[in-house]
Amino acid sequence: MKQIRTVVVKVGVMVSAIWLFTTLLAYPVWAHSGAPIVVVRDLQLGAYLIERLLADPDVGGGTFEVTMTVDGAPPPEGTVVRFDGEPLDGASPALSVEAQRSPNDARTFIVTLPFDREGEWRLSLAITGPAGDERYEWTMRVTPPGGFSPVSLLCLLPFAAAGVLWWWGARHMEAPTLDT
Amino acid sequence: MNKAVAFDLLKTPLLGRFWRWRHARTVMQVPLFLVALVIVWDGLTGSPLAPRNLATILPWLHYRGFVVLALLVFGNAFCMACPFMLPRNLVRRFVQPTRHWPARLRNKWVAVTLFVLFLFIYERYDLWSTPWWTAWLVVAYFAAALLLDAVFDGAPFCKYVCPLGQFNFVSSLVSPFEVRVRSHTVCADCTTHDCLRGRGTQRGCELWLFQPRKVGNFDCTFCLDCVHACPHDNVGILARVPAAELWFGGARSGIGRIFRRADIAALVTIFVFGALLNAFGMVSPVYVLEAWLADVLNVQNETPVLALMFVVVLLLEPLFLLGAAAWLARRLGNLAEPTVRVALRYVYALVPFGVGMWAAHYAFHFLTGFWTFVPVVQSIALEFGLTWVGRPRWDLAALLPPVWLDPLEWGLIGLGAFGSLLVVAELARRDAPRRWLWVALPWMGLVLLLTLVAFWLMGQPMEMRGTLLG
Repeated sequence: MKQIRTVVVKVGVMVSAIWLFTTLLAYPVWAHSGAPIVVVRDLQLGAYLIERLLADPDVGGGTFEVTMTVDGAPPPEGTVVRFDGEPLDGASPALSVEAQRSPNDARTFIVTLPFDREGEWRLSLAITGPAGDERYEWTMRVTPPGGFSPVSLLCLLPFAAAGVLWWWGARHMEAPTLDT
Repeated sequence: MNKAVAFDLLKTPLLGRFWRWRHARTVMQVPLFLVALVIVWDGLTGSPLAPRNLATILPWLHYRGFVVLALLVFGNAFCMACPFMLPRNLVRRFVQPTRHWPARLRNKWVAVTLFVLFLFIYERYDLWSTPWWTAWLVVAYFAAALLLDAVFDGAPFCKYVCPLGQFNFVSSLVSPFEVRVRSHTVCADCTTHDCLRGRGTQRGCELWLFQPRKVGNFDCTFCLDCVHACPHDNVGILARVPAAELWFGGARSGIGRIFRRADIAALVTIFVFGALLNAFGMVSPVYVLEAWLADVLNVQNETPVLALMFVVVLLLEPLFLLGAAAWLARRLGNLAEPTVRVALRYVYALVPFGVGMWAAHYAFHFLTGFWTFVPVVQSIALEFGLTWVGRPRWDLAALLPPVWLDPLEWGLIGLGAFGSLLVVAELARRDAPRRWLWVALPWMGLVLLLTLVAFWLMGQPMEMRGTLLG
């Protein structure tokens, strides 16, 4: 029994080490995972206070959401918010879509940009309206759409294996004692 | 602790040989000390933009990521190579403190307070985005360690003050390795107790952990002083079942019975609920909540709003949840002891979940921002005229394909929650062998509730520290 335990612990350590080693050898890729990310928050852009600008730049339908105020109130009627996107390598046509004001929150404008491929895109937010015309630009990586995939399942396997090993170890270990 | 497991890292060919070398710790400390100097220098003189400064990238992305990874696969590696101890050790060569740390402060309450304060300042002043303040924080850390350990004997800074150390102590409760004696029989015949007292110029344990009576990783910095001091070569870094020490209720050297230590229970509570709060501080709904609270309180300043959130999440919420779970467990399992004692014991079961949550959070930043140091180093090199490094690659950021990240976070949180359920079951089996499931049920419910909150948090829009291209 003692030998089996030792073997199990060694296998556990080995699996952990291989997993860590694989992680460290992984090739460099670019930012963004499944959940949307905060591009900016509390940015004063002329009369507009951008409370937050969220981006979920996935291929097929990148969604962007900007929440902003003018002197603490929602932007006045007639304010138009437009998002533009253009790949840095110029290999795809530029996109330009007008954002719609959210029916639930007058401060928030939402838009979907139909990115046709991954890569670095130059994006811009253009605001025109009674409170002034402003523009904010940034660059970000357009990524594959998130969601559960066979790869996700594969990534969870080491954790499941570690859980089984942990349970086995806890059930078969001797009660913790001080045997002096 | 686990007698059957005998895999000893100190007996491995390369690592073991290195760690058995007396100056191994110094060799590990020197590079980190140099990195700390670079952090201070770049933080005070470099770009104020967080993604373009090593003072914000290295501590908040890399250090934290490496720390949790090391804790998960090894043990308390950061304390082992702690750079703050290097100047302190140098000073100790010339100054031998004679004062003892005040008896009243020989507990974790100062550390708990500083840990909360650290979390608060981190959120209030966005330390992750402030190279200048991060640099001063590092300077303050060096100064505090130096000052306290120059005045008081032992290692009071590590044991009673350092918030980072406390984080590592709690996390290392689930680490797979532990510094402990190889054979208690050898210790039984030992009369010199060098592992505690030291031998010649070799220090003994400065955190007052007497090896034969030491249980688990709590308060152990993995400094290996005991390994070098033991004349019988009887101390190793041994494999064990992670978290098994969490259901050990006996006395531990230098600590006592953790199930009776309210200060350690408070530390663990802050560690667990702080993991959720710290992650909450980086997701989108926190801004909505803060705006709403500011409206309700009619204040413009973030401090009272944040303070209220801290009081609710780190004090009121744990009091209610732990109290309710303990009360229910006591009622359902017919336990004779007071509710407080039940809570003091079972709160430790939440440690694996807390570690999983911290690991998921830090791993996210680590993996999404791993390569950001490359363009920053290139940028600094260009300032010094080293043009051969090329133009900074500001597009470099993540280490793993995006599709890996979510499952990794789910896996870490899920594995942590599983570990907590294991500990709950083991504790309950010892408390009420016949009604253990009834005792465990409320605590398992609490673990699942916290896990759902954690999954929800990790699915929220979050700030990608150091990774936006600007």
